[in-house]
Amino acid sequence: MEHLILRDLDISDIDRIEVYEKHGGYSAFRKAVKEMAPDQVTDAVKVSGLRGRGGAGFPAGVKWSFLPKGVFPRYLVANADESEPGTFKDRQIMERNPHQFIEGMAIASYAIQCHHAFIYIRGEFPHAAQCLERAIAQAEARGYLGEKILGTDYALRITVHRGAGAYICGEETALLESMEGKLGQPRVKPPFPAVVGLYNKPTVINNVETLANVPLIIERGADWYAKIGTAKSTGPKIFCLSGHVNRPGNYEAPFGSISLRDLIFDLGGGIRGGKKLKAILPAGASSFVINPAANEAVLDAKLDFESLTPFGSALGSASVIVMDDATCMVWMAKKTSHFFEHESCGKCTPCREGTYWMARLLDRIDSGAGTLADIDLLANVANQILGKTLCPLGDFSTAPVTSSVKAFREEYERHVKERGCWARK
Amino acid sequence: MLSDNAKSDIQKLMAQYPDARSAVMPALHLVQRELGWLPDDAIQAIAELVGLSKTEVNGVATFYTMYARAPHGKHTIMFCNDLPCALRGSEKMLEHLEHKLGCPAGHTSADGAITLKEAECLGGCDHAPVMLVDGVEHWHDLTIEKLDEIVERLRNT
Ligand SMILES: Cc1cc2nc3c(=O)[nH]c(=O)nc-3n(C[C@H](O)[C@H](O)[C@H](O)COP(=O)(O)O)c2cc1C
Ligand code: SF4
Ligand code: FES
Repeated sequence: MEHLILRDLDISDIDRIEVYEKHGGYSAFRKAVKEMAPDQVTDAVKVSGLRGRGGAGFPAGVKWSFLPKGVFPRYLVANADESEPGTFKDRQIMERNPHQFIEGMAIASYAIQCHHAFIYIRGEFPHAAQCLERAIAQAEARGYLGEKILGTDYALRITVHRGAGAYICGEETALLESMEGKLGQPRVKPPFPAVVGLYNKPTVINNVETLANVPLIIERGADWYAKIGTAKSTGPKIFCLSGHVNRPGNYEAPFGSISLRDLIFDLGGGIRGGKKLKAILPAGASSFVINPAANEAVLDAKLDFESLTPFGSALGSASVIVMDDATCMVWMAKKTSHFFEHESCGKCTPCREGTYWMARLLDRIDSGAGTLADIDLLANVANQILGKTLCPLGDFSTAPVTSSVKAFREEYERHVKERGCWARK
Repeated sequence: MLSDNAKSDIQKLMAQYPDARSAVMPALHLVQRELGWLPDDAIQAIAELVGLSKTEVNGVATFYTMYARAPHGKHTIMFCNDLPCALRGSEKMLEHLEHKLGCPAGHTSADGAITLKEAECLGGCDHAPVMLVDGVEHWHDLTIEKLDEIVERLRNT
């Protein structure tokens, strides 16, 4: 099937603007600025059902319509922080099909009447940042960006802003603080960025993949788009597959068209080295771990934003980390806990202290010095974090811990009884 | 302290934003590229240019992991050891690297050639294990042999 987002897989040099144009590129933006009123663009995106691909799945058109009337300037910020362990989709878009993303930004900017848009890209993506700079320069030279765009009165510039290493800057309000030259620490919400955002002005923040979907909606129509996927999760989705599979990579498929089994065993070529599947983190480190042995049906649920909920998990950004039967679940939780301990911004005590203690307890259990009481204490510490923090990072940090204690409790207990990890002895 | 070039580049950066303060991160990147790290007087110079206090700029420079507030080796390796890379052998490779450089992660080899840092996910897990050299060079699908070659090359350049 034709790729709609990862078009570089069908057309290898689509990063060149003339190739992108030859395949219909920028015709959607032309149509938007020349033939549509800004509100019509927003309405089309609402009708399309497009939901945010950054993890939360909020409807994009609805978000755009939240901006208060008559308050200017307004800003669009593309979230290209992509730091969730196991996520590498936005990078492929930016490096290999950058114009579709830039065109999506231009259309979104027009829809909300923004004249200066930003891309906040993580500092560890120097090559992607260069690809974007080049794409923006090409778009300027062709008259898609700048003053008097395509003979209209619309003007737009796009600035690439590089981060410098901090996962928390993917959280939208921390991202805004960082853009403003401050520490990347989340703001208290409300007010929401739509009302008080960048430089205290109305601001829309969308993920790279979300924006890359927008040209399709304008070019081929909202009704066409809404027919892809399921009724509540429309359009194509990129699944990032990593870990113990034969073919890790980005796989694009309409929402509701593939299951974890299809993704891992068909597209991903199965588990490496003839081993067996043991566990899956479907949303990166911020996942509730899936234990397929407990309920095989989870492998056959067609993936959309909601389909993993009955199994106690969630799709999030679709960063599917696969683990074979030789993987220790205590070690897995230890790795994610160290990640969150390192990435907690320190602004609220439950998260700062809680991530520290979870990491210490997991170190202890993993090393063989833990007690059975430590396992309960671990769940207890997680409960002290849950729902008590300023931003969702705190809750994220507890998900792999509580879910692995629940799904693999006997493994935790065996670490205590056998004084350490039998799997890695 | 800062070259005239750096100063005028920072001024250009400031003009790119509705609020000059937003230029502080790009300015830190730029100066670190020029000097290799961020000494106190560079922080002071950036603060004066951008119109912030030295404390504020220092706060930013210490919050983010890619900024170096202390001198380090000629080259920096950020070696990813996050879960997806670890599932594909990064932990053993990091040990090998520590052994080869004769220093644990977070330190610099005795010859001053290479500072080794353990990194969180670098967004390249489909080609794990992954590392970033000097903040610009991405290496993926690493093997021990490939790692040895890169280290040799870095030692000699
Ligand atoms: C700790 C944390 C990290 C996040 N990281 C990212 C990220 O790297 N990229 C992203 O697009 N959204 C990330 N988000 C979600 C953003 O806050 C925001 O919801 C999203 O960018 C909105 O865009 P969307 O509606 O198009 O998905 C993160 C959220 C949290 C709480
Ligand atoms: S929950 Fe953690 S990351 Fe989020 S604001 Fe609080 S301390 Fe910072
Ligand atoms: S875990 Fe190493 S690049 Fe993602």
